[in-house]
Amino acid sequence: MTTTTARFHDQIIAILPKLRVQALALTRNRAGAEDLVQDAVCNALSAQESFIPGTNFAAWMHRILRNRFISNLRKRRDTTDIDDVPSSAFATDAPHEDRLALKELAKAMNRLPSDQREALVMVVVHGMSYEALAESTGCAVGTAKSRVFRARRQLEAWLFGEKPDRFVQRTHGAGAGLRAEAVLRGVMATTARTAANRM
Amino acid sequence: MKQRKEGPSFPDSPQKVLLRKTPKPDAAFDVWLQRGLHKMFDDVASEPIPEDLLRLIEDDRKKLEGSGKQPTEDTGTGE
Repeated sequence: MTTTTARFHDQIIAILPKLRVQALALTRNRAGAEDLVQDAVCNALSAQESFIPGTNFAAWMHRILRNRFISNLRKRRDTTDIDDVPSSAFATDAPHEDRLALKELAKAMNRLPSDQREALVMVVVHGMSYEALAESTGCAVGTAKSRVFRARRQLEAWLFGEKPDRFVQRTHGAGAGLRAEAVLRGVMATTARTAANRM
Repeated sequence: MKQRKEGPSFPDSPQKVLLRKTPKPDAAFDVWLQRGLHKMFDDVASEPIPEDLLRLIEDDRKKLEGSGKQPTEDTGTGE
């Protein structure tokens, strides 16, 4: 076995967890994400000779997955919009308020444009730099920064903004908006205090 | 400012008023968001990789070894 063969394939295997997260951020759908990762891996394997040695392998793979997602979107515009992103996260033994807050966050995430959702997840969850994000998504660094910034602001506005009930009422019925905002504020304050105490 | 017609009212906190004036997201929200997103996505990242996907990669590796082809050598820095 050549080292180069091992290296290329090992790198694909190593990056699979991150590809799954990126795919889920884009598709919002577990089954769709698995299919997308598989398609991207197939594309990468068949295009491995086009990979330029010395360049960023992770960015190359993330770009392949993203291009495949866009290509799939063009083929079938009827994407299912479901919020099964964090099903296992909801099933934790976290306090009720935490679970409620997480559900609200998941719903708000689903409302974000896919490019903003992807950018936010890659920076916040993967710890990716704006430069790496730009390379992975084929955009300028400024655009990458802007996507993350706008995603954060939009989530904050939806969850804690001037009209929180406008968003929450849609999913929980009238009157739930203000209760949800109060819960979210409480959870957020607790999280911030815990983080501060650990510093 | 408009009054809400129903439900309890929460007076705007100084923090909320400040948020409206400045576009910079506040640190407490960032901390909360970071933890929330990790809760949502960390499980997905740590789930076992499906066998058929691993087989697909390994089969390709074996195919290349058999053909004696040299795939590209990567010395990239990752992320």
